[in-house]
Amino acid sequence: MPADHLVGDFSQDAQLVHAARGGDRAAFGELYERYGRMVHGVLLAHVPYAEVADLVQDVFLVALSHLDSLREPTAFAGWLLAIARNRANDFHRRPRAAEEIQDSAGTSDPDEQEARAALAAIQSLPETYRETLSLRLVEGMTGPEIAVRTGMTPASVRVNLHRGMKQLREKLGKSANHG
Amino acid sequence: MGDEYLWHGSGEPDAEVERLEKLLGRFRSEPRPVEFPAAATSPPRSGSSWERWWRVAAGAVLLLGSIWLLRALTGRAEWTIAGMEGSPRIDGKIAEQNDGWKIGQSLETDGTSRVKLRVDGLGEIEVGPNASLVLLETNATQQQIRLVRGTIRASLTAPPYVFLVRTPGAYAMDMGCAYTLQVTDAGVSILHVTVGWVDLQHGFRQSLVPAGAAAESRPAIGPGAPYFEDSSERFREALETVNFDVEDAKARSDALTILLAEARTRDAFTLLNLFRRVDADDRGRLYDRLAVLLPPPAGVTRQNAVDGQGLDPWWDKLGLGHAKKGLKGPPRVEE
Repeated sequence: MPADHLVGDFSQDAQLVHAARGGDRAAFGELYERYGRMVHGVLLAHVPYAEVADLVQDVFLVALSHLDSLREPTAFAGWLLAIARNRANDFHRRPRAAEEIQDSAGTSDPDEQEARAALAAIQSLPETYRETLSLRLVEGMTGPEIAVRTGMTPASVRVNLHRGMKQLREKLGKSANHG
Repeated sequence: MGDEYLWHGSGEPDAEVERLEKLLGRFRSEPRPVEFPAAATSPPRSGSSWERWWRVAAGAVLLLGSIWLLRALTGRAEWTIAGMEGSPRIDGKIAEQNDGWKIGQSLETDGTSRVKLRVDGLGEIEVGPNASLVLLETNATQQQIRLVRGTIRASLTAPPYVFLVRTPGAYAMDMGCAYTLQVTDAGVSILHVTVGWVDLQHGFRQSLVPAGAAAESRPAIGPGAPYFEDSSERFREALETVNFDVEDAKARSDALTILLAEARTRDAFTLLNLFRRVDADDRGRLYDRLAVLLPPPAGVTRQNAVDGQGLDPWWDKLGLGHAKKGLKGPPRVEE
């Protein structure tokens, strides 16, 4: 039964959304606390690390200014995810200097280089896997947490983690062999 | 070793997962104070064609929604049996013409039964033989059912996103349309859209399906990329592998080769949908084939395609008409 187990959690979101619509900034801050990591992890699956923090702020500002247009307050998490993906998409559409999008340049620290290579490998995976793996490996969320925050079923998250990790191992193995 | 550490982050660590966690932890979100303005005012927006459309669409949807809401509030959003054959059952009891169907009740048909359900302001749902469904929600802004198995045919007049059908593989959300939705005993759902658009969602996966197209959804995977029903059989078979054979990278890659060879200009729609479902190498292959079928608009580069981003102008160029009650606009999630 997809996502039925999330009703309680999403009901709390709905209460916070109602309060935030009424001008309660603490309520919106609570939504930020709940979903900041998720938005950060999803954005990091799509855009360079250096851009993520500003885009997170942007996503929440857009959400705040459009809260009244959210038809179903229990759907806040999915709505926020859609805003995050749209902002990532906008980022890739706008013109910018070449150096702005390079995360990998200018480091001699081997750990840093390896970390950036691993992040690049995650970012090259299919969307479903890269977002789930970013939330798990970068943000440190557990599978059950990812399910609760994203609205996916635990079974879907588990499958995505398993298959995504399998593809990531293959990619990292390939690049190690080439290196 | 299983995936328990990957799943729970506890117990006996998987060495590679643990190493990646340590390496990648440097990119983790750091709590930082944020200042949100007290007044929720709309920020200035750029004048891209997408956003202009979205403002027009949002206004039109709001207008349609207001009209519908007025009707719904002045009428009664009740599900009633408007027609039937055989012996359909509600909560195990044989139903009769004009019976109501209430929240939490099951509705089942046997091999010789059919039912036509009607809701004021929503439209009609025909339920075929050997079907089982449950009414989950009915109010002025949301009608929601779970289709456990069997086939329904929906003809809807409500505004977008009022009628939602839960299936094991996806949520099917009406965007002003007519469609047929089947759930097999294995939990696979198959959607055929005849009018308008349907939005299929499951977690991170989303497919917007226009009239003349179909899409399959599977439990634990979600909706696959949609396809036009007049595409070749080989194209559809290959698409099934690309969509759902997620364990076997070689099989998927081979299937993508067949799919690209079979694709017609009209199938550019499916190819664009696949950008979100394949890895970077295959996104490059998709771009190369798409560029032949439908030359990329100005500003859309191969690098865009490999990144899986910035492809909206290509969607525009498809000329499919648009989601949301036939209004001009992109297949894009509402903000």
